Amino acid sequence: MTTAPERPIAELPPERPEARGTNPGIVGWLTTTDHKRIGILYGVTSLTMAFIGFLLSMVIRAELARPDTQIVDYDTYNQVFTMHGTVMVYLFAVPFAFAVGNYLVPLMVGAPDMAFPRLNMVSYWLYLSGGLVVLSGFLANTGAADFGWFAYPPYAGQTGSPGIGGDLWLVGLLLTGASGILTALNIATTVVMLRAPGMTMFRMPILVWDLLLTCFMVLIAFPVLTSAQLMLLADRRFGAQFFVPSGGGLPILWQHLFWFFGHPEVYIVALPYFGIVTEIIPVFSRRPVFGYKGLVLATIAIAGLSTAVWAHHMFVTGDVYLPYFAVTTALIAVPTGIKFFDWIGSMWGGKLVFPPPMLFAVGFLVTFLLGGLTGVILSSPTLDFSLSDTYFVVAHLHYVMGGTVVFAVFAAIYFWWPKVTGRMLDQRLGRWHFWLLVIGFNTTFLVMHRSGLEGMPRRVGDYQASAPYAAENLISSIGAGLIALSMIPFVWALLRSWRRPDRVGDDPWGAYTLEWITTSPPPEHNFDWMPPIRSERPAFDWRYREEEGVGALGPEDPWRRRARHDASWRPFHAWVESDERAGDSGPPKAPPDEDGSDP
Amino acid sequence: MSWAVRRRAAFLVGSTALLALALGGCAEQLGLPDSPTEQGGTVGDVFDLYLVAAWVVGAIVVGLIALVVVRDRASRRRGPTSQRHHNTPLEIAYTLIPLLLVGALTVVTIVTIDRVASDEPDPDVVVDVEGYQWGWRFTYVDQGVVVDTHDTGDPELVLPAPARIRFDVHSDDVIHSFWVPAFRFKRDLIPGTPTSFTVDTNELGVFDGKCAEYCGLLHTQMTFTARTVSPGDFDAWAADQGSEGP
Amino acid sequence: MRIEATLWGVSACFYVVAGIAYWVLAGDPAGITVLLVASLFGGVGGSYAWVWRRRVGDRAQDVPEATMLGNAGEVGYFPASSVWPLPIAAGLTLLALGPLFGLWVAVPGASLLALGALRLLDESMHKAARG
Repeated sequence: MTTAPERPIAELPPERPEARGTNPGIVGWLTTTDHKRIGILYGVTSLTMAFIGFLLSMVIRAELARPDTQIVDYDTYNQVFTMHGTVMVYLFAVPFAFAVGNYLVPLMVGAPDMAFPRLNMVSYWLYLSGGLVVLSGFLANTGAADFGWFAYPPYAGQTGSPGIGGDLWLVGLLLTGASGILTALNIATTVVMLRAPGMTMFRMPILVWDLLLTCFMVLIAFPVLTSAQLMLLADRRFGAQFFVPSGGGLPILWQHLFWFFGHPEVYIVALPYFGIVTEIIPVFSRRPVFGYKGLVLATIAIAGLSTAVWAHHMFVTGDVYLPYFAVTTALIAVPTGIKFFDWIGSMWGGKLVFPPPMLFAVGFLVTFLLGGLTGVILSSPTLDFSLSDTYFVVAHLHYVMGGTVVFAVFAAIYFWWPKVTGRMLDQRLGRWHFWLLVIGFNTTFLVMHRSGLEGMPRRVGDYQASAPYAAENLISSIGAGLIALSMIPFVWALLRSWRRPDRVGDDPWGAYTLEWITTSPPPEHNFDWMPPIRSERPAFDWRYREEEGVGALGPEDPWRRRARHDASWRPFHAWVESDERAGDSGPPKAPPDEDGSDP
Repeated sequence: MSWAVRRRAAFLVGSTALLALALGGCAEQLGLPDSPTEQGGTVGDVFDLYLVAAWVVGAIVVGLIALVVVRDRASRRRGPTSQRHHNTPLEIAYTLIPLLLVGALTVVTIVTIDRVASDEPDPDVVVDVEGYQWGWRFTYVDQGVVVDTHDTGDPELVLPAPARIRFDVHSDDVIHSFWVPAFRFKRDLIPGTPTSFTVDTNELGVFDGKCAEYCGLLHTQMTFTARTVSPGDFDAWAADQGSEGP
Repeated sequence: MRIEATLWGVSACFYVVAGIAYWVLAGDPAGITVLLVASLFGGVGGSYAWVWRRRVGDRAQDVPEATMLGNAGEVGYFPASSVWPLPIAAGLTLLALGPLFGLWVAVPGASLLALGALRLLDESMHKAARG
């Protein structure tokens, strides 16, 4: 095989789809149907939303730093925390996951684009317009929605909050919900219908599996939210009585409907990020992912169970059947634990290096662990009666959602930035970013467990100076300042990448999945050529195709043929600094073996 | 001893230390306020159990992560990397063991739910609790006493101890939540869904009470105080309130 | 399609079982309804995948030894760019704001949506006709 040409003629590329030509400039971006551009649009918009949500959290922490401060009045404070939750969950976490999904799913399964490119763009516009409608509440006289991100009636109903901010909130989220449903349809169809030859379901990257199951959850849960929101809008605007007791309605019905959506929602927020981490860890451990099938089955279990646990948010209502939900909620810990051990297994016996993506991935592991453990505590109604609606839950939710989303978002950005832009983000700045974030994040949220145990309720704008949790609040607020500080090296790295780019080639990390085969950034139709797909690591197989016993291009099960591999970690920057890095030089050559001996 | 073994030992020692801390730390020491009710005592015991389990699992997992991060660093690893894709016995083990652990904890929970969210017969005192925006109205049904935020400012919920008290909670405007952190229990007041629960007090003291479900502008200020007194003192207090007239 | 069909099928069964269990044990009408109706998701997808597999068999992406030749031919319709998503989304947004601001917002929204949707369909139909 040593005389094989760089691009094997025997492997014909898929018949080119109709030649694409994007319009230049702004018009090009407004009329694009290219999943990569749409992914970038989602990414930029969702990170902007994250910044807005972050500013809102700064207001909260400023208000709560000392007792008896009044930086904002109660009414404004109530809007601030409502919109913080809304923006972070609906307008940042889920859309960023869709950004990653939009950009990567077609690349990872070997498709030229998503199944419905124009519908994809409709989804993006709906997300943008929905987000703007939600935020426009701040411009209203009566202010933005102020009923908490779960919008419990009767307070969220006509008599409780008659202002237009609440209606804008509902309409905006109807639009983003529609956006999400359409994107989920798109991603699911792409995964089911457009995979490349040889890319069987069990050779897809775990990220694609996680996104597929996320889409299933979206398709089951979001319509319920949409229905409930329409009912609430009808109550508010058209005199309906769905949630009005005097008219025969039941406020608790909203809670059932909302949480049937709400709990899968937090797994929708988690699963894509689990997938991101699962892609990153094996690459920087120089070994395959451990327990692929286990990971898939565990994710299926999580997706399924997540829709059967909703009333654990309602334990304190006294109106739900506690044992059923106690059992299902506790059960979810098991597949999550399986995933954890598989992640550790994916590092075990490897050769670990810690550039920023790996730092953030390991940071995610530790943070999410803590959130998962407090989740088991909260799954018990016996304990939940004292902990529900306290800062213990705030701590838990930030550890799981913050730990998952925040750490994995940065891991994804640092990892795929070279693929999207063809440039590397500064590694040293990335390390500063990571460590400041870890310190800031834990300073902010660790003490909140204690505040909750000591009796601090949620959604309060103030507390007594004599309260036992006064000191913890000050510590939290200092931590929030540190988190803000950690963003400086990150922004600096982004600016640097724009101004003084550190250019790299197709595959600076030596990664495994199909997107690393193609150029950085990929061409319009994604792939000029594709290697045969014989395992879950097609790029890896191709890179080591000439190695004895490594990478199988025949019909046999490649896992059996691969005895040992990759004895040396060749620092990725060595390849980057070589003459080959500028431009597309084709597939990277396999590194020389350091150890000629067998294990 | 090689570095690797030293590190491993250090982590095991560290984990054990954490474990010891956990076992030594009772619910009270880690922040749950002292409880003047029997139900609260049960909650404290269950909390200790869950906390120990959480610490043990956490220490093990963090220990494993730390071990692999230190031991398998590229700078100190030589030779080929593992290419194991799966290890079925191991995977089954780490499916079953957490399942058993979680199952055991859940059994404890299910057994204690009814003890904590109790609805026992024959209460000594019945208090009707109404939450409204933004205050409380406590009506002692048999004694005919009404304590209302409107009238008294920071209302005081006086209760006898030891005694069994049933709270009938409801709201007519928006959702509130009746919460005395020391009781280690709260119950939402949902319009259209009135509920009740019983509490068995067994200690005297003064405790903070709060609204634990966001209810609008002055949710933060919807507080009260709960005070447990001896049954004799309670009767005297009730008679006193009654004589002051509505 | 075998794995996809199984995945959907298992999902449908799970919801039926969970729904019935909930009905028997606890039974609030909202919960029973959402659980049982959720099984339709798996039911629709699963039966589609199953019938597809019966009729068409395995595709190149289901065959572990497939080569790229297996995907020769037209993969799908991937338009280079399109202006119609914007009016569709704008129309839907205005339509959604209708309950808040009145018919004078909803009606233009609905028209914009209809225009965009029809043009969108037109676009792909014309391409298909051209082959």
